[in-house]
Amino acid sequence: MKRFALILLLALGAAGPVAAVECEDSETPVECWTRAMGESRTGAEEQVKEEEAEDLKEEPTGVQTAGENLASNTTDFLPLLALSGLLGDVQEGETPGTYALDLNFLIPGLAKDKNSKFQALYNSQPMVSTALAEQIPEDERDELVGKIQEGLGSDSDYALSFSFSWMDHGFGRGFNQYRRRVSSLVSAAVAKYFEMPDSESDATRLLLEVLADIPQEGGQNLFETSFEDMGEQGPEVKAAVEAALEQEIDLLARNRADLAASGLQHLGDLIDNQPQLTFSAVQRFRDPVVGGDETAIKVTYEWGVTNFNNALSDDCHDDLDKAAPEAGARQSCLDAYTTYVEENKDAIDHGQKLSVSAEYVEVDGEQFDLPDLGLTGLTLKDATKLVIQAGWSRQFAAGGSGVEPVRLDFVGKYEDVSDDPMRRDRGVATLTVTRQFGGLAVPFGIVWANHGQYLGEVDQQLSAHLGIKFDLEGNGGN
Amino acid sequence: MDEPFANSNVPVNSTLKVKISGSGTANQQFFVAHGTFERPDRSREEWMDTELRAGLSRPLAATGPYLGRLDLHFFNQSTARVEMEIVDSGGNVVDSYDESVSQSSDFDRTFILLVVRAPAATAAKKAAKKAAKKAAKKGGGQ
Repeated sequence: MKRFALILLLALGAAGPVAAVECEDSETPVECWTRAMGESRTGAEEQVKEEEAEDLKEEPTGVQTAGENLASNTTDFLPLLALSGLLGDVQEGETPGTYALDLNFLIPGLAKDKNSKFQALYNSQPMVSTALAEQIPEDERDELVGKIQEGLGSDSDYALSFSFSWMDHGFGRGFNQYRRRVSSLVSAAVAKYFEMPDSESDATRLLLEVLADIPQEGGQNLFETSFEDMGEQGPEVKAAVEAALEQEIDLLARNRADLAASGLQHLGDLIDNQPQLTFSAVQRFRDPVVGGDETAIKVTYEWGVTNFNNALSDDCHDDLDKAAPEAGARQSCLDAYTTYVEENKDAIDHGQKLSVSAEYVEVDGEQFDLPDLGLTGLTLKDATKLVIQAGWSRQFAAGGSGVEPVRLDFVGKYEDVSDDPMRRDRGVATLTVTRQFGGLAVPFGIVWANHGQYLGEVDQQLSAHLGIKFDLEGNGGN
Repeated sequence: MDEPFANSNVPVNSTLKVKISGSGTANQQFFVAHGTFERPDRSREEWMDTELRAGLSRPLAATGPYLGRLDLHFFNQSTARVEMEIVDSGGNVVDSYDESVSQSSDFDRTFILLVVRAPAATAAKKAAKKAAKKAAKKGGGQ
């Protein structure tokens, strides 16, 4: 009966228009299954890889300096936090010559949710402060500044920094808080294809029934027995395995197409565009000749224009977050999600992001002497600083090529240093264009400031910076 | 995973255990798991991410074919691990499966192909009974 059903199934071409799968007589069912599935997925993976590579070309990640050279508008919290290890990781800091040592390992549980970062920042190139240099008689300034500079060491400028990214139902770019909603959407998307195939004509079930009809001896597992060692049942089992494989490979292709049509492949991008609220505090310790100790607090808010919050209504977010949402709710929310993705496909591809931040800095005053150099009564006045910053970024098509390998970052900030007699308020605008060439990103930035940072400098500053950023993993890892 | 969890000789009243986990913290695991499981009576159940991550157990109380399709849907680069085990009624591990997969998108499907059987002695008795019945029927018909 099973044999008849199998022959009928093959004759009717129930497996669909898939390339015929052929098992070797010397193979076991598991070996044939693993090989055929591997071969079928190679093609699918190649296609996915090509799409991903294309996607990465479309999305240069900008340069994470947040300084005045090549500025990026996005704080990528996850990779930074992921780097914490037993001894902490050392990475290049935000300005040239600075290094950041990850100290998350010092506080048990801190890295668990990946939304906190405790770091030590070390400046390997401390400089004598301009405010101090100004107090040295001009005729011996260069010489004395050089001597002071020689005396600076590894402990002349370092800082401790703590950052916290708020994460809840609608904030943050971790995955865990969205997992249940994503799971519900996936469940709705696959509901249709899991109704297929009908179990009466399911070739895989038929394979199991064929095997169930073969008497077993001892602990023998027919899945691990080669077809040629199965005796007279070998050809029947082999045909059943081939039919099951053809059905499953075809089903996989159809499921993949269904999922693509649902727009679920954009979920990662939408979560990456979720609003992110970051708080940070920095305590900086400096040798008086470098400057006064600093205490800074900063609040940053970043968000992508198209994001997961906007993809669903509030009701859908609430419904899908339940332990067992109703099938109807899941389906209607998936439909709404798919519509959102279809309507905003271009915006998702452009990856448009915005950010605003405010930073308040207190600089301690210092009074000291440098008797060895004959300098006494040196004074650095205490001061406060307020920095307001706004940023915008998006991808652009390059030369009408259809793909979007150019990323544009614009960051504008205003520094209010009203009570620092050595500095003056100023505005700084930074425009950075990052062009992606395969695994290589080339950022080019233009910085304009309406004043120099210190009194006595030029009225306006304009500078240009060029960088190169390699993808050492060769796969768009950035 | 290309390789299925397949066994054609699972003792009845065994238990199938399935657990999905990922490397890194929960926030780094950009994937969700989903599965279906069909029993010999053709009843189907859906396995959701939450229960798969917590680890689920299903008794294999009836003889016959059990068919599962276990999917891992990826939304960013992550590594997922699938652990499965069949434990017989005496607590002995009959078969086990432990595979990991790393992807950044798309989905990965692992098949569960099980044939659950009565113990050999019981099966032999049943077969003999069936044959005897058949013979008696045949004899009665003549």
